Amino acid sequence: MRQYLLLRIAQLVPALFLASIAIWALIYLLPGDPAIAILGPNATPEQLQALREQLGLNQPAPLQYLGWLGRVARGDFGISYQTGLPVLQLIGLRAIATVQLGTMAFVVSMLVGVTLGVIAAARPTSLAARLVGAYNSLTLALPSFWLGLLLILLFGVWLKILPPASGFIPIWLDPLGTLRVSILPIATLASYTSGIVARFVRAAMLDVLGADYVRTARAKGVAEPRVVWRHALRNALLPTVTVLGLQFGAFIGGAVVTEGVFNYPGLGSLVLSSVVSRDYTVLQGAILLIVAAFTLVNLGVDLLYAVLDPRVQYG
Amino acid sequence: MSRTLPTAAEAGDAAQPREALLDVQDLEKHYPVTAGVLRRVVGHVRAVDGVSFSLAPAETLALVGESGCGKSTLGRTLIRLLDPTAGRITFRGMDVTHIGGRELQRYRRRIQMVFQDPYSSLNPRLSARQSVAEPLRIHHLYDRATERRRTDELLERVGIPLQDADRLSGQFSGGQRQRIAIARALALEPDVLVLDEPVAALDVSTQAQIINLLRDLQHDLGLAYVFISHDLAVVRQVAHRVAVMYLGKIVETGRAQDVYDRPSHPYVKALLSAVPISDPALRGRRQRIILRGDVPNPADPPSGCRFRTRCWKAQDVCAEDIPALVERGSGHPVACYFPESVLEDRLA
Amino acid sequence: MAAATETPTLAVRDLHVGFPTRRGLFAAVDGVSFDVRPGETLGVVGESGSGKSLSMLAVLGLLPPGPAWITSGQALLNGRDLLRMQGEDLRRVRGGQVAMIFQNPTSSLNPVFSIGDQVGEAIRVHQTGLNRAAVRERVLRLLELVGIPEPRRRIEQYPHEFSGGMAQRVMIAMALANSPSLLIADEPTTALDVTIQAQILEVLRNALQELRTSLVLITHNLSLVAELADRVVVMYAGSVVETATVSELFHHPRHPYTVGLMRSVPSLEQQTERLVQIPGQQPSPASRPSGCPFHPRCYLFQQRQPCVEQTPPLDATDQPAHLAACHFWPEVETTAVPA
Repeated sequence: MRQYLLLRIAQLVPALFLASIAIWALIYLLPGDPAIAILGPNATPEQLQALREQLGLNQPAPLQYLGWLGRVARGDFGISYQTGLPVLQLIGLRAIATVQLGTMAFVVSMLVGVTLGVIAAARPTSLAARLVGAYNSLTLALPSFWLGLLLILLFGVWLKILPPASGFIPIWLDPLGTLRVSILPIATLASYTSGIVARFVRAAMLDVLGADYVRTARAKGVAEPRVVWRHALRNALLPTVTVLGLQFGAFIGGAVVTEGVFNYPGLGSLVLSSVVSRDYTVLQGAILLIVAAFTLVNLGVDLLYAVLDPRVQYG
Repeated sequence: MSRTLPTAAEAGDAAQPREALLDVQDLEKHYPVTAGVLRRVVGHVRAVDGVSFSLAPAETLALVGESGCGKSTLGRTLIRLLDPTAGRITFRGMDVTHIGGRELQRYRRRIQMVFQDPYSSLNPRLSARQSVAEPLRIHHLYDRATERRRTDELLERVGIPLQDADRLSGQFSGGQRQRIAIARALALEPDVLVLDEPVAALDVSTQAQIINLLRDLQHDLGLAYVFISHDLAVVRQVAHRVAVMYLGKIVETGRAQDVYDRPSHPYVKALLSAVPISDPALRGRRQRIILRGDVPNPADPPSGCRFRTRCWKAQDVCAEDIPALVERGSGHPVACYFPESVLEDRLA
Repeated sequence: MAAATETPTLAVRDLHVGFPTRRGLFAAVDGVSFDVRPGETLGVVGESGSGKSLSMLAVLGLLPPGPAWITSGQALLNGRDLLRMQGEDLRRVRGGQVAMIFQNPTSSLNPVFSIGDQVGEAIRVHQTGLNRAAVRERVLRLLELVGIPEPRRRIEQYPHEFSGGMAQRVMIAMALANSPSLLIADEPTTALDVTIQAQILEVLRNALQELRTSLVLITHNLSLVAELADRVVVMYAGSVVETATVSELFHHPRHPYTVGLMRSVPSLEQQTERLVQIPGQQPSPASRPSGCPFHPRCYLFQQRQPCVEQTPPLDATDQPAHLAACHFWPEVETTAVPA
């Protein structure tokens, strides 16, 4: 197992290397000139040229890339064109915000999704199951920005019980405040994912509930709730973990729309604003880190299999 | 309409097979076992590990053994669904071990297979007629009219009423599906049928029907069968000759009555004694040998005689060299240094 | 063997199991009655589709989820009707007084829990006062009882590390954990090799003798019945067609289906000229023939009216306690079976 772990970590290096080339190249190829973005449309050609020289934008592409890679390897992600702040610092703050929101949304969507999926599978013909089915369809169909806006309108404007816009409040400073401010973005983020998880868990549970070993558990006299929540769910979670892993990755890097709607200072909105302002250094750093996080999450999911399923042996 | 199997003289006997249809020499099929993250080959699963036998026309040779003995792998290697790792297969004098392409297609017309599970070996979306016609289409044998006549003939021969011939395979019972599978196997007029547990998935009364059908077909068409099964009673009813396998090797072979009535290999003896009695009056009177433990791992078989870890007669010599499959006084070949020589006390 | 006058451990009376379809009731079990006496082994013989498994699953409330099952009749366990019991009471019976083992031992064990965990659970569900160590001790003793070598090492292992035979031993251990008065075994050796089957039969024999448990052995394999059973019930198309002691059944069968079944079994001793086959196949519950369900395939039918018009009741024959559901049972002994 240790061998496997070392091998997988070692595999991260070439993966990230390839990812870095792809990221850098894509961003380099984006239309638009950062010099203009920084100095504005009224800058003179000489000023633009001088800035480009300063930023090293006139060098051939491979040299720019290698230069960047070398600096990144030393931990120097450069300076944001727009703000002048070190990129790492900028990303760092945003990352914490996103991780906080993403983790909370992940936990919520997992709890809701698994519970709904189990209920729908344990009593397939009941009213509850049909409601879960309706919930799944609804969450799949609702675009997140629309849902977000609706929630803001309902709770923030009409009912006035929750703040309409949210900022980032670290949970360790003010838990209650964090919750007030995060409920709506969490609900928006989690709705789509909880629907996916519920559907997945329901299908896996239906499969498992017909298995021979579930029949054995009932034949032993095990009470039905324990049969469902312990014997069956443990097995149904095995394929579900994959889906959960992918969703977690999506929360970290993909919450762009939700962050936009709620004006939440996370990685997603950082990426969005950097694209608009052609802030290449920030973009490159942010995306590289998101890719690294995603890969690590995938590794974590694979390792989780070995923990959950005794039949899985690595190495 | 009563039938007896052709006698040993008619079918060819174990000692001198005449113009063997199929001849297998030292056949091996090994699967590599990998370990570690770099997928290093650390050993081999020796599914079939040096098997030799021959099959004469119109005779039934049964490959008998329990799970993991390699009989199914051997069957698939014979029809070249799997490629042998070593050894030779000869059909009518021609070496078919490594042929491919057009030659392999020609070989496949001469030897066909019937599989164990009638529920998955037929495409449920094809009708019975289409399933049977499929091999004819693949080999471009006949024009439409002749093809139709031929499939009707085959379906009738196996007892599928023609008015049901256009129903989907999925709508037939297990026994009927097996009949369709047999008809399909016969479509190309092969000389040999390899049957892999053809009745294991069927109920007792259906089993009897299929066994009778197979015997009739052999009598009418002169087919040779390689009959693979773990069911000793079924084998007794269909086989002329028997080869008992254990962990990839044949441990005893001979005419069916010789092996059943005078088993020499301890494993064969244990196997036969393990079969439940057929009459409650025999309770307690049959001397049953209960083997200890499980079959060893085929990737790491015991040295020397594979059976020695469960054998009550094992001695040091058994661990040193693999005993050869030769005649040792019982009249038929057995692979054991200490074959049983006393008649087993089995009450009829 | 128990006397006929003792209260039977299990008394099944007029059991019907089916579910509604658009074309009417699909009756998989159609009025089945039999007794299991204390300490005896009852063989329930039938081919697939005869309803033998479903009847016992219905008695324990373990019918597979899906169809809207309708069950009627009585199943008296030492006098109490299992079919009238409410959830909690029935649950306590399962694994306690009545235990069941099934056909595929490797898939019948939960792959993510250890053997010790699963056998231990069988104990903990029914004997709530025991602490961890006590449960573990009992599990080890049970594993020894069923002949699992190195029980202290094996107790931590997972089902995928067990072969089919070993897994079935574990199932037997789980079933016997609370010293049930009745064990139901549904095709316990069908998925196993013949040498392993012999081992499992030994395990069952010894365990039953030691604990004096009654056994209902459901199987299509007549030789298993010849090995283990005291009495036998033969089922066909959802009904019982014959009930007798095992030697009566084998030596003097009184129903043409039983006769046909026995003659179809291939013999190990010698090659027969032609195996007797019963023409046609068992009807599905949706297309059950009128009158006697077996008559279209029966060599005694000979176009006689009663076979088509009246379903023969399971009645006494000339032998005491030997029942047969055939209008013409006296002719079974005298009529030759066609080849």
